[in-house]
Amino acid sequence: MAFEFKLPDIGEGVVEGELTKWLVDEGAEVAEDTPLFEVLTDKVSAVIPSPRRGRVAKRHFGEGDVVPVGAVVLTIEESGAAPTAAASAPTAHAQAAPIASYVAAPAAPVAPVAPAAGATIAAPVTALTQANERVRAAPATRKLARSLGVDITRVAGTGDHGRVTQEDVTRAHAGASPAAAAPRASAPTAAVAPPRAPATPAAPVAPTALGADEVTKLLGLRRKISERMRHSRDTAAHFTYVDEVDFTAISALKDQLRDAGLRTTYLPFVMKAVAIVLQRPEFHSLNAHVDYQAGTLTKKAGVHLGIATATDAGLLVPVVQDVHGKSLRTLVGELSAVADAARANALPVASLSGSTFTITSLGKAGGMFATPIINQPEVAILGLHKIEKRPVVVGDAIVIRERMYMSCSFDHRIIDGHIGAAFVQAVRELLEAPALLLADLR
Amino acid sequence: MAASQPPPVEIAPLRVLRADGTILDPEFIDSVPASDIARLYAAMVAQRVYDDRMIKMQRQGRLGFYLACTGEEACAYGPAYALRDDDWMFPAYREPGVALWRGFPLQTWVDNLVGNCDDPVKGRQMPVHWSARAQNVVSISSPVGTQIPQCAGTAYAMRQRGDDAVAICFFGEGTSSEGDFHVGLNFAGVAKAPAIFFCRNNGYAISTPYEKTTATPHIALRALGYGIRGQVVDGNDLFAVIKAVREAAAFARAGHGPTLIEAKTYRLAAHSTSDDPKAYRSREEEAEAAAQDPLPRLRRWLEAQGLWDEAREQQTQAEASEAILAALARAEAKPHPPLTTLFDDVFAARTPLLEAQALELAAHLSSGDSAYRASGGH
Repeated sequence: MAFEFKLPDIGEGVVEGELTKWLVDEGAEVAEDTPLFEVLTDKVSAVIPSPRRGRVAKRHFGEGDVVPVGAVVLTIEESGAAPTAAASAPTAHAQAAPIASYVAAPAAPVAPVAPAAGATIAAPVTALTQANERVRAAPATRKLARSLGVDITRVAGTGDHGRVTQEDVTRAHAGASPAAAAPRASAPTAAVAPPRAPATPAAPVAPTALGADEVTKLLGLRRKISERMRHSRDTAAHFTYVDEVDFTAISALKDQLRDAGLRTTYLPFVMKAVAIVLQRPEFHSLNAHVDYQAGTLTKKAGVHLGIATATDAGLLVPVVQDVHGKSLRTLVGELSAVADAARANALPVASLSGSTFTITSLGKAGGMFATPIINQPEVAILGLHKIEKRPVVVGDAIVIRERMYMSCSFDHRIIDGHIGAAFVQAVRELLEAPALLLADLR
Repeated sequence: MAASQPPPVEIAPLRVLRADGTILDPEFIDSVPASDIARLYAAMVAQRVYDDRMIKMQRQGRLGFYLACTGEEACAYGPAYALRDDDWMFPAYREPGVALWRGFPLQTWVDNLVGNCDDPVKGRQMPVHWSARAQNVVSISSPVGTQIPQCAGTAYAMRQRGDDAVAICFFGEGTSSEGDFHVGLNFAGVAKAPAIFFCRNNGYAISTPYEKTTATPHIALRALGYGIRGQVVDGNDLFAVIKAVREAAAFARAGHGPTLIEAKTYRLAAHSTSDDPKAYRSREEEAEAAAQDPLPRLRRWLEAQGLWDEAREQQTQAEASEAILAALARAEAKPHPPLTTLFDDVFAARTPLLEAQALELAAHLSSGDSAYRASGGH
């Protein structure tokens, strides 16, 4: 009989954990209490022991995956008819997701588990609120709603007397509860609610051909990305500087290398140029980590470049270490390995941290320019766009050159405008005259 | 105004048993029957087995939360043994031993952890917040320090009634920097209440190290400021803990007032299942503390007396394991308390608002589209 082991909430109110290490292979026999895997949550890192005896039929997540609490982590094909004492609880109980039963029953109003539960929770509460009543919510909740772009009058409050709580707002923002998205005035009332006429006449009915809106929860990587982006925007004073760079010379070099058997993109050239410029004393403060709480800026000795990489799961930023000391050829190899691993979701956790500066390349979809968000605790990020042939005035003639815009965002708390501008100009100089790049190449 | 000599504050730690299992104070040992010591040791070994099982249960998703006593067993079983059954006890949360020693059924303790229909507090509390009324052990409060004024007040009331029982409360050194500590100790000092304030100083207020919670070198020194007796004791020495609590109880019963006992110990496990001490303690420090573990220390002495051996150790662990697994199996098989009891016990009779909410819930549960079940079950 297959037992599905769901990730329990091993801290208080933890919603997910990173599976850091598998301790059993598929096909392995496990006893009760056999260590199954290690998980890292916001609060603890813990070894999870098996509640059952049997054979590991399937591991549903890989190392490094962020597993939502309640998700099936592994399936155990149970052996032996009678569970031994440690797991001799009736199977009906054990299989009904013990944690869910503890959480859902007494703590239902705060458990945004499934849309179904959300709907049943919201109904009796909205019944208590008066349709035309001013929304009850604390100023901090209103501010949160404004910052998330949530119309607070359309959020079903679960607090005292229908008070809208911060959880309600975040839930509505995430779209977890269908009830939360419905206008308060016409929220469905529970069977026991006193009958109450809708405050507003029925709105025009939307066309039905499209079907229902799709609601998904922000979990795992998407949630991490959201938090980090929000944090960066909330703390750093972003300013973005854009300039156009002539890539004609680099393009020719790239062709020469290709003919010599080294296929490369433009990125390694940019990485080398950035590393060389960052190592100049006047730009050390751009290759740095800021700790605003401690009030410190740590200028990093080495240049380790984060390379923003799109994956199916979302944005990841693997790090290429020691760019300052690596050849172009090495970088070409490492970049492709790192990108492959990221897309296969097989990046070692260690390779996702320690960057000192980040490059984000929009490649062929590059548009003209953008306002990249700094990958904190770094203080600057360089965005690359599409390289294309454009008409350029050289002397008094119009010629066709390979051109690209670079958008570089800086944390203005740390980086003054003229430093940021000078940095971009220095990178541009090296890229437009690769002979200069060669001079400092290591 | 009559000036009186304040009671003494002893900061040289009271110690009876050395870490190597040899005895400093043979006279005291004679006052404790050897068979009792073997029973106490067995109970402490069993406690460690229970704690280990409960942490695994939590990691398997079968228990919401747990706090282990590991490393501080002497601070629970020592006082429980030293006091009389009619003395009141106000535990913090790390001393299930005080109730279990007095006969609180293991099954009831486990029923509370699981929160089933036989939980005396009807599944409304977090796990670990048990109640043992029949054992004169008062419910556990989550806010730290709540039990200190409660203990002082109870002791005062008993003195007013002419009882010769005492009240003891347990708390950590972090709690001794909370307001309730001042309120309780000051009042008990003024009232000469027969109270024992038992501070388990395990070095950390969850993750905050001792040095960041107070500048005093010894918590017991605070007794000076309240004009009460103070005593530092080696909290990993079961004999010393028994001796300190006995002396404090005798002092209180004689009408001299309260004692603040500071038991220096160490929490060998995490604060709770939501805590990870690797983040704030060094491995070296933990290894050093493990060498002071109260259990091996006591075992060395018992073995030297011919009262213990490896076979008994194995048997005690096996029996404890069997007992806790059986209790857990029974506890997990029981249904949760009926959802409709949710509105009981807050007031003697339901208020109109509670009554209305109860009706609304009942209607919702019978409407057929509820995600919950009306009674018991999961």
